[in-house]
This record gives sequence, C-alpha cells and structure tokens, in this order.
Amino acid sequence: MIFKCFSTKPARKILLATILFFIMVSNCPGVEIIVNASVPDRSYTVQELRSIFAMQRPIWSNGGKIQVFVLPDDNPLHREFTKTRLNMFPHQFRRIWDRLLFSGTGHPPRQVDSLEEMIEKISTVPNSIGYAGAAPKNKNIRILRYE
Amino acid sequence: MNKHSFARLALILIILTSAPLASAYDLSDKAQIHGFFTQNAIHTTANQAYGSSEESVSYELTEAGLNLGYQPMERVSFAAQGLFRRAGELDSGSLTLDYGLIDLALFQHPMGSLGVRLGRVKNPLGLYNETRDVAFTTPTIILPPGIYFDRSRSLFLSSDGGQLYMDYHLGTGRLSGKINYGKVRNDNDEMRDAVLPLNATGDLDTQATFAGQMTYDINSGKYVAAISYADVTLDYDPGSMDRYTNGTIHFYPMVLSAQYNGDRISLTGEYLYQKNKFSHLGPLSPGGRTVSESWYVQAAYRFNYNWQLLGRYGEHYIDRDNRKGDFFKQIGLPPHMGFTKDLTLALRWDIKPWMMIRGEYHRLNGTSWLTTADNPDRNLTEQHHDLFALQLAFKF
Repeated sequence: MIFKCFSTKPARKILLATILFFIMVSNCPGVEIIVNASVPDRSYTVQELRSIFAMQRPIWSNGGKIQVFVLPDDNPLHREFTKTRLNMFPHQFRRIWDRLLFSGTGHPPRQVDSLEEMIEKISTVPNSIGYAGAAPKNKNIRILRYE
Repeated sequence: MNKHSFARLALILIILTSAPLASAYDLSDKAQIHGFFTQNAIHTTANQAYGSSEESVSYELTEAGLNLGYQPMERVSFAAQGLFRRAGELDSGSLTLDYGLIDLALFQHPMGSLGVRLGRVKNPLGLYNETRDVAFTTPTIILPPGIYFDRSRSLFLSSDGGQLYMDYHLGTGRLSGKINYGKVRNDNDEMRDAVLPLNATGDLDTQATFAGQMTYDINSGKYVAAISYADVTLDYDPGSMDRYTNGTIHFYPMVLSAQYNGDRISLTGEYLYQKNKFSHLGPLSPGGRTVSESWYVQAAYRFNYNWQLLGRYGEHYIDRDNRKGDFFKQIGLPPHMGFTKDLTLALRWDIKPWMMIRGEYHRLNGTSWLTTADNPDRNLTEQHHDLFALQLAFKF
C-alpha cells in the first residue's frame, strides 16, 4: 500500500523528510520577488502575493497603486516564479488577466521582454512589483519578504 | 461577404499585423493597446451553422477586436474595444463598439474596492458571457448552446448605462459583485425569430435592464462560485402582414456557476433557469409563462504548457415543461426546435502565448441552438447533426 511507507521506522521517516526537503529546495533556484523601494516593507502572505499578481488588489497599504510587471507566459523564469512562489501555473493567471482585459473591467500586468527591462522598471516605477533570478544590486530595489 | 465588410476586415488585419504581436503595445506608461483576431472553419453533416457549412466548409465566423486602456489618473481610467464580427447569414460583417467606458474607483483599500463604470459595459451572465467573442478566454469555439444561447447573444452582450462593482478579500477568498443597469442592445432579428418563430416582421425594442453577478473565489480563481441574474423587457412592435400583435416579452435568466481551475485539471458546471413571460402577442405566441432550462458539465485536462483536451456534455430546453418541443409541432415547425443536446470533444494547442489553434467535434441532437438567419426554412433542418470546427487565433 502507498500509505504504508509513512508508517515505517522513525529513522526512515527522517530520511524521507530530508530527501523531500532537498527535492523542494532544488526545485526552487533563485527566483526573488522584487519591489520598488517605495513599497511598504513588511512580510506578505503568499495569498496576498497571488491576488496582487492576479490584479485583484489595487493598492498597497501606503495607498499607492500597485504596478505589476511580468515576463511573457512562456519565459522559463515566469513559469518558475508562478509555480514555486505562488503555487500556480501561468495559464491560471492568464485566464484571469485575459478576462479583465477583454471585458474592459481591468488591466493585465505590464509585460516586459527581458530581465534587464524588468530590473529597469522595478527600479524606476514607484509601487512596482516583479521578480528576478537573483537579487539585483540596486538601491531602488528591495527583495520582498513573504511567508 | 460584400466589398464594404471586406474593406473593414482588411483594415483590422493591417492594424493587427503591423502591431508587434508578441506583447501589448505600450503607447506610454499610462496607455496600452491590445487586440485579437480569430478565424474559424466550420463543417456540419446537416443544417447550416455560421454560413454554408453543410457538406461544405464555412469560413464565415471571424472575430477581431482592438482595445485601448488609458489611465490618466490613479482612480480614473478609460477602456474601449472595437469589435469586428462576421457570423454566417446572421452578420455579414459589422464593426461595433464592444465596450466603451470610464471607470471611477470610488473607494480603494488593500482589502477591497468599490467603483462605477459608465458607458457601454459588458453584461456578466455565467462565466463566459463578458468575453464570449474572445477565443482565448472561452473553453471551446462553439459555447454551450443554452447558457450562451447564440440567438440571444446580441441581446445580453452589453448595456448602455453603468455598472457598480465591488470586491472584498476575506482570508484566502474574495467576494466580488457587479450590478449593471442600462439599455441592452439587440442588433439583429435573431432574438425576435427565436421568440416569435412564425415569420415575424416587426421589431423588438429593449427597455432599461438590470443584470448582476455575485462571485466568490478562493485562492485567486482556483475555486469559483457565481450566481448571475438579469431582468430583460422587450416590447414587440409588429410589422406589415405580421401574425403577431403588439405585446411584451420578459426574460429573467438566472445562472449558477461553479468552477475548479487546478494545475492540470479544470472542472466547470453551469445551470440556467430562465423564467419567460409573454403577453398580448396574439394567438400564435407561446403565451403565458414558461421556463427555459440549460446545464452543462465540462472537464479539461492540460498535458503540458501547450496542449489541452476538453470534454463536455450539456442540454438546453426552450420550455422545460415541454422538453420534446410539442409546441413547435402545433404551429407547423419541427419539434426538435425545442431542445439541443450537445456532446463536445475539443483539443487546444497554444503554440505561443499569442497564437493558438484548436479543433473540436460536437455531436448534436436538437436544433434550438441553430439560427433562423442560417436556416430560414426550419422544416428543412434535421434533428441529429455533427459539427466540426477548427480555429486559428492571435492576440497581442
């Protein structure tokens, strides 16, 4: 039975947990959520981030309008970001964005075509949020804390 | 297709192809242009769907749109979309304003918002009505025949008036609502022919209409539940030699929707319960009160980022107390006009984020979904027919 493996010796359990941990860690190469330095500095929940990237939250707690930037749907970093950081697939976001856009009830995130453009936007646009492969060295960009 | 509509189509094609297809066209930080273009090929084993599809292939279902979003201030934005549509004999090619509105965010908070949209707003009815003409947002080329009744498409599409919208975050969930009030459009005679099937020649005039939707979704759309309701009143003004008289028609559609959007699997179910009231339309009108009913269940599976397989079954009844369509028989029309049962199998290939091809097969029993524009002599239609459709779609 499948479930039997969970009822084996404690030593095996620890080993299993360790292996699982390393599989999870190895699946998450550096994708950092980055924000413009103007974004309120606190720890956000994954659900908050999910709704921010789904364009369902208009403003930050400082009252500034949230500016979302993303890479194209088929960009490997975009896939990695949605999967490992938000537990969603690109098509799940696209469904929401297309419905907003083509019904006139909202705007999709602004799309950038390269990581360089992403970093340029996040460093210059107030209240912006995006992601990058590694933490860029830029005083206008902060890594967003979340749990 | 006449010369005029061809010129319009050519113009839209030029605009679409001259824009960079891979991403939106940013006019500035505050304005964006997006668009789409869809061409379909349709074949039926009997009856005509979107042009001459029987024993042939019709290419007369084309949809293209171009929209502009402009946000001059944080709480004020403008959005407008022009739509070109050609749909068999029903629409030989027309350019319309799909929506055009000013959006005023009255109240904004990290937990929720409240605002109004004024102008031409799309009507929420079920999960897909607001974007039913945009291929990328719909599950199949031919939508479930009852809830997205193609014959009343023009009636429920949009309202000229306003929309009050609100949403509120509750933990992992979000409650959102839209209330529309305004005059609905009714750009063609198909709705008239659906309600008054015996050679009516007059016009249906729409009155101010209410349409609303409440949605609760969990985990940003992973689970969605919605209820939609509309209250539509139409006045009939008979034409010359008309067999129907000066009367009134009321529709009260209510749609219950549930959807699960998983990583690979999507499950959807919707149910329509629509009260109808007909008064003073003469002895040939259905008369009194009836209830139309429709439902479907749909399952889709994603193999990877690019391929999706979908299966669906649904039924539609013009009059749920008269499921075999005997009323139509009494007035000399085929009884299978009273219902449609549709079994669908569809395959979608997202080649690029901006390009998609899909194909589908429908096993159809009943003709309530067919337009009179394409099938003017209903007695020549057949109850059982198969439909094959292929679609190529672009967006930017």
